[in-house]
Amino acid sequence: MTQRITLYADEGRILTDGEHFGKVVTLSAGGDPSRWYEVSEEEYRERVAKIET
Amino acid sequence: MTMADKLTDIAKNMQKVYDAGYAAGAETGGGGTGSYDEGYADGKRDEYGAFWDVYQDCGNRQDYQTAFRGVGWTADTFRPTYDIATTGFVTSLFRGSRIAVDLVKHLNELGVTLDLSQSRGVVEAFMDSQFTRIGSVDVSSAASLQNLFNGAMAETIDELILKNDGTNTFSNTFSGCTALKNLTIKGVIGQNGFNVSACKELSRASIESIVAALSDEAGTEEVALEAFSSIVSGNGSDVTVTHEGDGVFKINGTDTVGDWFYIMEHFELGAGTYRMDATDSSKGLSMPFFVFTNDGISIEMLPLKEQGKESGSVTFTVPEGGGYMELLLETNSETFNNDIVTLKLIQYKEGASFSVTLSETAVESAFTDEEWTALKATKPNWNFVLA
Repeated sequence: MTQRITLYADEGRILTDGEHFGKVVTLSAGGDPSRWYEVSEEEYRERVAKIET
Repeated sequence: MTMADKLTDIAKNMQKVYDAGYAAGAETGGGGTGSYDEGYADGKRDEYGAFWDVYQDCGNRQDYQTAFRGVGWTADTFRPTYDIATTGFVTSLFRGSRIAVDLVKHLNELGVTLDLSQSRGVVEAFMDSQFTRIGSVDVSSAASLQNLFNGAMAETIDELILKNDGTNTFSNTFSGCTALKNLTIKGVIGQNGFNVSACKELSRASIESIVAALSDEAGTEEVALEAFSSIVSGNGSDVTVTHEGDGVFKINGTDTVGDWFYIMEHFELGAGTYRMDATDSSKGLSMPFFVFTNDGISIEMLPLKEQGKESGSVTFTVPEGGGYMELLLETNSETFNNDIVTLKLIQYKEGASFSVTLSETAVESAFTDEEWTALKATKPNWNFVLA
């Protein structure tokens, strides 16, 4: 059996590992959940806008 | 005749004079038989042909950087007369163009083709374009796919053909592609950054295509399969199984009793997640596969490969403290003639992180929770981010 960890962001928050963003993140087998942290939606929008310019 | 009478006659004959002059002019002008409009159109066609001869170097142009970039390019102006098959760069090829048609149909009507398969640089090629459908886009010779379709309005990209070694890189490749519904991926996605979260209407088949293209090798390393015990028949048939090294087995002889062979016994494994792949040229073998903890407790018993199939694969996890695996070959009363079985053991590297980002809306529309969980489980080395 392969064990997988799924992280869910709290209401109004977005998960990120610094590179990717999402409300729901399913880690790869053996993936490290400590790499993921929450940011506010405002910070998320700012970061995405920065990436895309 | 008075001056007033002369003026009256001139006025009456003016049309005759014009007609006679027009006829003489047409005759001395080359004897054209068509109307002025037809002649104008002929001239325009010649001019148009001359433009494309120059613009496409009579079909020899190799470098199409920014060739059809900008609002001046529409379905009326984008009418190439030669195939576009480039070995050079096509950076910003259609960026910001206003060619709001089905590109495949449009090119078919013009009788020309678009082939980017030899292009070394395709960055921004379809960025902010207005095609409703983009056909097959072969980027297997390019490295970066940055902004390739960023802001494109297409509903369908028939095929995106990637390199088979998974080395294409992605950065905002599909950003803003809000209309995209249909996308088929060929080749391998082997890098971070593949993000179709903007595509909220992406179809189930498209999502399945993306997941299927995710590299099975990203974040993995192969485990050498060397430690085998001697291989003996379990039921005393005439079949012989020999280990040729590196997980390759050769099988010969005839089985009349339904035989079995331990080809891997107590192969020790550290904690972690693994995938075992098997192929069987005879297709006739069954391969039951067992995983145990070190204290002998069975974790899993899996059919690595079933009879009648040429290949099979199982993914399993060995818990802290380690364990071991055992593998049987079961013959089913067949004759073997130098048939080959290959085994490959892959370990997913601890903490390896490869991510693909999809639209939460699209996934929830296309899959039940159970279906999505099952689909994700086919790629245990990838993080699936729903945004």
